[in-house]
Amino acid sequence: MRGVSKRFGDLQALDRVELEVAPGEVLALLGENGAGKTTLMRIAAGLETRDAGSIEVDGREVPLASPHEAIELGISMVHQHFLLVGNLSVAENVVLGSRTNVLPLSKRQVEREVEEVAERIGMRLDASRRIDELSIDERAKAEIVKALYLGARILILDEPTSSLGPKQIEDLLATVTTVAAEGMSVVLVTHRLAEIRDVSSRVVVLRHGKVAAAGATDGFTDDALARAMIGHELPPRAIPLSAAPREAVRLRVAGLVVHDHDRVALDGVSFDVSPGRILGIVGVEGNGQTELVEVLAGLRKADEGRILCDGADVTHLGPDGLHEHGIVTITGDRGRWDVIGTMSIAENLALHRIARRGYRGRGGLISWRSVQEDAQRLAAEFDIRPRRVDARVEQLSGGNQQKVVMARAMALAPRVLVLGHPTRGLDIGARRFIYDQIVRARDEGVAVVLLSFDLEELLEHSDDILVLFRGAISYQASRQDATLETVGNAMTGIGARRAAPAA
Amino acid sequence: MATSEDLLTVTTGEDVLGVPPEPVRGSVALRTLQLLLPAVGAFGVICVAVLVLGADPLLVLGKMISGSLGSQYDVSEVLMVMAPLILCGLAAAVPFSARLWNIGGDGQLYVGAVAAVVVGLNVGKDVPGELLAALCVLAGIAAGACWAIVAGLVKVLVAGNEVIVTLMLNLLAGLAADYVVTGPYAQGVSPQTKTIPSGATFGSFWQTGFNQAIFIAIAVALAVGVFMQRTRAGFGIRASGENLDASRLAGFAVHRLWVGAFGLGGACAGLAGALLVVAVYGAVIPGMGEQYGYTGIAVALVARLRPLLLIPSAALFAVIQVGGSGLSANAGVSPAITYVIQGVIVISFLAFRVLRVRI
Repeated sequence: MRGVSKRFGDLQALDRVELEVAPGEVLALLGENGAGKTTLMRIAAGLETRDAGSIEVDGREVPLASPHEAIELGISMVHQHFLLVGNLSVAENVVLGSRTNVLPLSKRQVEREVEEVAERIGMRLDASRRIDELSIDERAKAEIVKALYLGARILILDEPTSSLGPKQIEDLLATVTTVAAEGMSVVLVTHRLAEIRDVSSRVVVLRHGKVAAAGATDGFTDDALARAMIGHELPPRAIPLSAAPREAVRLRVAGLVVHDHDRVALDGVSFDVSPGRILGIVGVEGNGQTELVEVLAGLRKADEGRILCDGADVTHLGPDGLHEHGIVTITGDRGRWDVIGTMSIAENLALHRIARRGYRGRGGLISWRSVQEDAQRLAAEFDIRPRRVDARVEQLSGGNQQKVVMARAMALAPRVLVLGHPTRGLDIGARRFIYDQIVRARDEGVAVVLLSFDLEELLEHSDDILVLFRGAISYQASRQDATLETVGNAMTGIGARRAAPAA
Repeated sequence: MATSEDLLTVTTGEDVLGVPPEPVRGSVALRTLQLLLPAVGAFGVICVAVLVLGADPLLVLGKMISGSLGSQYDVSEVLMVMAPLILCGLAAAVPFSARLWNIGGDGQLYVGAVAAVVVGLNVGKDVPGELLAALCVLAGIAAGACWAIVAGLVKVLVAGNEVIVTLMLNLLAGLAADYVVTGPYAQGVSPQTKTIPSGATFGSFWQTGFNQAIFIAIAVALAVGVFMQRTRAGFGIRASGENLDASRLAGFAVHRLWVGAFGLGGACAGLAGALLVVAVYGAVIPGMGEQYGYTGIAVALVARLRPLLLIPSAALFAVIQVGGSGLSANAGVSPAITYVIQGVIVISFLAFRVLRVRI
């Protein structure tokens, strides 16, 4: 790709970007959210048009103006949120993507072919299983197999590891290495420095739509890459531990049992959260974290157990009742639960307060003027961009959307803050900003429950750590006692044990 | 992700009605274009349709305009038709804002009319005319609201499909209207109910169908507009239509809002029915609903579910309806062309809305 430029309104998303990838090479494309990584790759996959620049495949210039053309050229993109049809089998999904008009010979045969492709890269995959039944990492692999089956020669993976556990990430990256060894060109779009080290041979860093750094991965230190991504030196992070006593209890969860259809999602979970402390709850996806967030948000009923806030029973309250007790939840599933994409920044910021009968002006009517004033104040305080509070939230980058969500939660003056994956899909700059806010909330005396798949991040910020494995607590410790290894093992069920009572 | 809408931006402040900061949708020029393109597109398609029918499009258009706006009588006819169209537009627009497809405007209108007649005939002549008219109207509002709330409750309690329920309720309401027309309240001579005391009916200006009904309808549209923009419930209804889950998490009791949205929509349609009784016919007459309930859906869609835009939208459909009725005599085309025109307008407005980002 040569001199590729793209403009969205007044935003120069890409500015004369140069990028090339050789056969059999794994290229890491790094950059903050909104740096233009995804836009660049969408152009490569024919999903987006470019304003300027040319694209060559095998030395031949190609127009590349449609996804069909990209597929025919062997360019295949695996999206961050996989584009698979849930109630079809793996094999059916593969066929869905093929451009043959003739129906394939038989289902059995396609399944066998798909499984063969999977085996070739050392993967076991039952092609007759429905996508619904697969775990997240299996879906990621199904996407890769689909691309291979369709004859891809250039494979683009957009943030493939954003919702995987450490072991799953390792697995997936091993698959990527295998695929590349077969001669495939792989572009790995990510903002995690650690994972590219092992697999990529070259790295390109984008910042504000421009190439900020490029070269062999070995030629860069992590610090140099991080600097290239965010444009300035990263101060070393050492979040001081909370000085607040663990004995004071704000939120108590006791013997929580939740069934999801026939499955026991939470199996007798108990913990306490103290004001001024952060309790980090970590676990691989599917081990009860999601259900725990939903119960604490009042969106899902607990089958057994109690939740107490400062001694008051809040177990069966809905979101409204929980807000009244000062329990505010961010689910981490932004598009679904946390923002209304088609509404403005101001409307999203005011959502909860209006629901709680706030912003009443003359005649009991909503005063949009005060909504807007508050929104402008919050947008400035949380550095939400663009600063126009009447812009629709869906036009914002993920990091800015999360800032909106965070600003709203903080403006509600919470007593308990439940944060589900607050930095999912965000870049380093945005992550740090969000965590600064979380630590600030902690220091102001908020009891924080922090759930994340990202172990390192959790270990860096939590005062106490708790691991969920198959719906139960498999490990708990204070931050000083927890190590990456012990917690990682507890997450995958290895040597599950209870450490010194922590809470 | 930014779109072409960002090319030019205008900041929208709080206007007289206190409308919230509307998400930016581009410059005035762009917005005008968005309105103009579907209009031009619809016009083109309609011209072709008329040509196929063997008539001159310009002649048809001219006759349509002269037949609806050419005389005082025609204009008053348009104003008369506008009132129930605005109200039935509200009956669709309010629930639609919450993604609840209320197809039941027709039925809600008829139960409103039936309730108005039943009250008008039973409360008696001793009551002052104005009071009786008010009672009839209130009965119609209540009946329409209740009728729609049935659909809301079925949706909320047993997750029934509101499209099917409201359609079924339309059939039932039609039967109820037939019953009062042929049953105890039958007038005996022509197929209609007895007429309510004349003191309870609205007079008319210019000796035509034009009376207070249109002002009531416009006032209701303004009130509903304020409700949707500036009350917690109205905001909640809109928010739940944009993102149900996020609205729940924000603390809105979404089910209650849904039932309320149906109730408010049904009340508007019921009011339309009651006004047809007290302001137009004085009785229930088969077919008096003139498909207003269904046309109201089209009116609401073209108005993009905005209560205030319903007023010009209803005016457009009223002009088509009134102007189209004389076409067979004046331009040699079947009045059915009015349905074609309405359909094309709705489709082109919807189509251009979907394609909006590309304009």
